[in-house]
Amino acid sequence: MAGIFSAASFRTLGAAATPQNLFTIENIDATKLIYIRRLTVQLDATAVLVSVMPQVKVSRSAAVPTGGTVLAKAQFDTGNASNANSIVRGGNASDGGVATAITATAGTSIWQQYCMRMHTVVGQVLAPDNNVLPLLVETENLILRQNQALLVQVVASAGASNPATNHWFCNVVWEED
Amino acid sequence: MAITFTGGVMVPTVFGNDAVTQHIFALENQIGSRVDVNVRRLVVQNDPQTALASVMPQVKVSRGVNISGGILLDKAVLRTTETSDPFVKIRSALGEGSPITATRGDTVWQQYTSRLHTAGEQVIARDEPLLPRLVDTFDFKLKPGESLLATVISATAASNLALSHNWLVDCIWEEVDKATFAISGTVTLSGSPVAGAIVSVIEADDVSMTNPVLIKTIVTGAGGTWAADILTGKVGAAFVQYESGGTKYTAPGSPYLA
Repeated sequence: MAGIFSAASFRTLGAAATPQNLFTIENIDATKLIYIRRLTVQLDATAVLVSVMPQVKVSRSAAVPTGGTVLAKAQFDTGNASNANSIVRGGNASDGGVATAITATAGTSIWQQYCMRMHTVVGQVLAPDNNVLPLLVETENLILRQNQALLVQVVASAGASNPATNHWFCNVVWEED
Repeated sequence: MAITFTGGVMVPTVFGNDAVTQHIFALENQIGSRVDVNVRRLVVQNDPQTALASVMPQVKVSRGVNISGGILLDKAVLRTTETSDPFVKIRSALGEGSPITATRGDTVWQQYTSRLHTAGEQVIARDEPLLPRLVDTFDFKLKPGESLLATVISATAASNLALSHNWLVDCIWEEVDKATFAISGTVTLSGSPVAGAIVSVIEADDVSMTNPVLIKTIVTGAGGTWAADILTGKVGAAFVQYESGGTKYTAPGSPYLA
């Protein structure tokens, strides 16, 4: 393996629309593989929502994503460089900043997750890691081959269920060969 | 290479700083270190005491640079037979008087902790991972000259109030020794070995003496001999001073020992 890398999105506001593409990771290299080892989402929703909370779904994007903001990649070991053809995209370029829409179409869902909502805005708000891939992928390879991508998408029952008072971010760890 | 140390550190409570950016923790493997640092766990906790109805702060971890300030913390050992490399340094912020100054790098991982939308009922403070749990088994490596920095990033200064937020950080890491080569010599004066001479050994990245660091000061014994280890891939230089009967001696340095 050529190394382990991670990336984190900026804090992204809810789009008041459904679905909302939050985050993608893609491999456009003909010879290298990407092994996803962990993918998490966190949400801080600051407004009341008395209807069902949004789901976060992860799927193999129907095509290689475009748009969005290409995110910086961090190294577990600075002796290893990430392949330039491993590309991570987020939905904005600064925490809470203006949206830069990711264009991608969801495929069959691999995994999904509720995060949280505030039925009433009372008391403590916790923010656990929401795993949007099963922890199994730490040891069982989920592989992205050439021109394959994973898409993290917020799917709400109504656009109003994902207002701009929802503050999302994503983290990902992957391995490259 | 072998693990030479496994230990941890507990950061004393760091209060919020009424600002949008606050560096709360740094783990530095400074130049001169003989080890790689593999971070095995890094967690944050927060006890917010006043209500915050807007988005809570994020805690972001990056490979920070230009780190200074704060306070240096003691390192705890898992096995008392092991010793941490003295060039591995841990810092935390301590109130307004001792902030950490640093420049963030690309975010490695990030985490929300908690907030009180209203202040009432039980407040739970859990371990929130600042690095993915994967680092238990996959090495997240800090080489000599590299650092890890944890920073609270708030949407507004009011989101990390000094009188409200109480941050804790815990970290466990391993130190793995790096390959070295030996340099040595004998200090003589008029052909006789000199005891009590002071030999200073400097290590640098290259023969231009980039990133020089004093790694050892040796007082020679009866045989006048000295020895030191230099990291493989680096160069060493040795310089000697000696005083006897009020007369001070030195000698041409021995540079570019590689």
